[in-house]
Amino acid sequence: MRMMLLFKLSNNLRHVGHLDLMRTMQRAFRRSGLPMTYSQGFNPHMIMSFAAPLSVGMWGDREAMEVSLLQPVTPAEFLGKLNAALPDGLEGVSAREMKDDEKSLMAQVKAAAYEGTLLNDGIGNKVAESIPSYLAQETIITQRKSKKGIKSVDIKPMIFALKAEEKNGKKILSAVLSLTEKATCKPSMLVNSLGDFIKTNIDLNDVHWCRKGLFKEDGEGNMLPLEF
Amino acid sequence: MLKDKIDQILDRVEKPARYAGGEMNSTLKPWDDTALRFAFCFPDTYEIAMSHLGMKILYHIINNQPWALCERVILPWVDMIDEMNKENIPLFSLESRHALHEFDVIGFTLQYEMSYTNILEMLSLGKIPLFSHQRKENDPIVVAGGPCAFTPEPLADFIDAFMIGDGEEVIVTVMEAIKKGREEGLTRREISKALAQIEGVYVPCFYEVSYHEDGTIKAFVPTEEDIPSKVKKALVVDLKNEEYPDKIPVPYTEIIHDRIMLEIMRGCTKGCRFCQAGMLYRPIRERSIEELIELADNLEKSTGYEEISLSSLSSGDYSCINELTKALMKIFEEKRVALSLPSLRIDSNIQDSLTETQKVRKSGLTFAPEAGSQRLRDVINKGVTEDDLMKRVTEAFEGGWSTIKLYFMIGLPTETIDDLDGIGDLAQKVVNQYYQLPKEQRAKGLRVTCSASSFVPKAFTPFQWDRQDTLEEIQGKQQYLRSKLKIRGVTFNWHESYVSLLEACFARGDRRMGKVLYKAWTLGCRFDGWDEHFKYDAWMKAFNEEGLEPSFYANRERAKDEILSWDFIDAGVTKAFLWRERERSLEEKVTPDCRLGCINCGIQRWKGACKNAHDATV
Repeated sequence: MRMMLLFKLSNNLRHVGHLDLMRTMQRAFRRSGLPMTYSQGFNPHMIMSFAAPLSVGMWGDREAMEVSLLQPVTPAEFLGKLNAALPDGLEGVSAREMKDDEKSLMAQVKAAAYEGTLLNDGIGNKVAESIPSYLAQETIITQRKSKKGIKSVDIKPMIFALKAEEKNGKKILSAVLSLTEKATCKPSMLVNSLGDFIKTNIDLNDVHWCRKGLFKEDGEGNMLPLEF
Repeated sequence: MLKDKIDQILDRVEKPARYAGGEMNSTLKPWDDTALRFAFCFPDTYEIAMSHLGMKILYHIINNQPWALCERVILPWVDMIDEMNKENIPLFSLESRHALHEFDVIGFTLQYEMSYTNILEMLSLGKIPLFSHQRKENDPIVVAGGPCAFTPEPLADFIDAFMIGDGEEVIVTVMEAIKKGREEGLTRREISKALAQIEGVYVPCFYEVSYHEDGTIKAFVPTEEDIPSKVKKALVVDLKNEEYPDKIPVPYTEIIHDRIMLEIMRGCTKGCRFCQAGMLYRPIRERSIEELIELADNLEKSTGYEEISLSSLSSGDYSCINELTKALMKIFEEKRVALSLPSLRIDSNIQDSLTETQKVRKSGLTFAPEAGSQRLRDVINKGVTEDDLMKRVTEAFEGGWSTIKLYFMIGLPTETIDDLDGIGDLAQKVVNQYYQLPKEQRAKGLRVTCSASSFVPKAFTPFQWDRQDTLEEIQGKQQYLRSKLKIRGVTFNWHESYVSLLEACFARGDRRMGKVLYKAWTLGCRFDGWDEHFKYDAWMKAFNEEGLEPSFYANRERAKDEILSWDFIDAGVTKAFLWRERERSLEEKVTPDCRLGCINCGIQRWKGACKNAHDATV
């Protein structure tokens, strides 16, 4: 059976990269005693896939992955056994069975919600004030790095929501950004673009990002949490 | 707060996850409630530290004591060191991020000589006075153990107490003594005195060295009456399961050896004359099959690792290796855990095990003939024959491997050009063997790598009196081999001779090498084991400024009656035995495996230590 898992990666583990996270989850599943499915062939590996990789430095409240089990297991038992085997900083939040014909999580993801804490107060205030006029632009052109080089891209249609708030004395950005194969706006691109707009260099290390959740679309173009 | 400061700079460095801590099975005990806090310091990067079995064993043993805690402190990489210096962040532990100087005891593991400048770097980053005599009453006590503790003199100025030999039991005794001393309000010196009474412990401040005009040692004597003139190594007679970890920290990032290591036995009976480990870890002690299966099972359950490696100096010599591998494969095949057997001697009878374990073909097979000719192999007592090698190589090629690594040493005692030619001949024979197989039977793409390291004479071996070849001699031999090994399918690798020279100086150095070490560190030397950081010129400058010559330590043959800087340690094997073996080597006489008959190495003086010994005289 296919099981979707939503898990939390806490900020003490935010520097663990995606490949390292995959290996960590594999070992946790091995410890859990759950009946995992392995691929055939010469070098069998555990069958698992992630909805979207988390960049190094970012932590996540509701990350998503899918595994394959040899025998049916209830979501409650699945979560219980997995959580007993996970290290501090990783926690299974919820699980549900996926239908056989359901698309892969990666194909379902359309957007993600992020929360960025601006550590530099001066810049935080400037950015917060600029949001309304930033969003009022017709197009928002910024650079996107790809394997082929640097491309200019209009990120305005990829910003589904953006606002500035205050939490614990720091300015935070809440954003919902497009996350698909063809159109992805990374939080770092948003920060660079804001920096260009307010004509101030923003050090990317001065913004700490948490991915709050992943979204898919229903038949009518509405955003739904991925787990629904 | 230190934790927050550290977290902020992690964004600016390479591979930040290696400073994060919090790995599965890492142990965090309450700081305030614990009487004795021990910082296990590994003087190199995380990737290397986490591949080291000794740290896992001692971490487990110390944390098992209800009155003690052990946390890991690892040397950060250069970019992290720079950031820490900029932000004034002291060296910290992985588990609780306490600063190094907050611990009661700091222990370094001495794995290889080229890590010594890293020890000074760690003390400096930890804000601890580098020199023993500079440390104040409330500074941590600095101890050290590991194989290089058998030649402690180059570090004598920096380490308060060395633990020599098996660490499992002596480390607890040492910590108990320190705890008791602290509770009773003893001074640092009084505590050191108490440590010096413990078997296996060497406290340098209670010994004085004097030198002859020619630089050799005149005398090495205790400065007080109740200090032993000879330090006997610590020996664990029976390896016990309680002293082996049943869970080990599982790193997040990639490390060098990312798997469960199961120590199946300690010690070796082959008696290869160049091999220090084979001499130091006598007598041979095996763990039982039942115990190993229990350990393996527990470790696999607690870690989820995909691979177990059977670790020892020569796994093929474990008395029931085929039974053991069969039993382990039975449990682990279903769990999809791969079993690997590194360090197999070419003359081992492990064919069954090999088929069982190498079901997934890895990158290649490695064999260590060490010398190119049978004559030289007999001199070094590495009794493998060309026949053995060709048999193994043929099995490998027939089994589908096409990548073979051959390890050799150059600069061995009595070496002539015929021996170097022998290396070329062996490589050629291996290549020929491959092409003799029909194309359908062999895997594509033959790759034979011949690796030649430069011989470093080691203490407590029959070659401890020998000279190392000079740089010119070694480089000449490397050049010669380069031309001889221009064979299709063969790659030749060689070790940087400059590093081998430094290794040789520390491997048989005396206390004065400590001055060179300190000077080199002040000149910026650290990470000497890393190509890109090794500063040969700075080292030579350090020797120069201290008025010492590397050739005195590395390229000088010792006289039979010379006092060697490690003579005060009783490692089990006697000097008489070593000299006897040296004479046999010059006569090209082979000494057989001592399981076949006791050869009076000296261990048998300790009643009950060696199960194979008979009452022979030394």
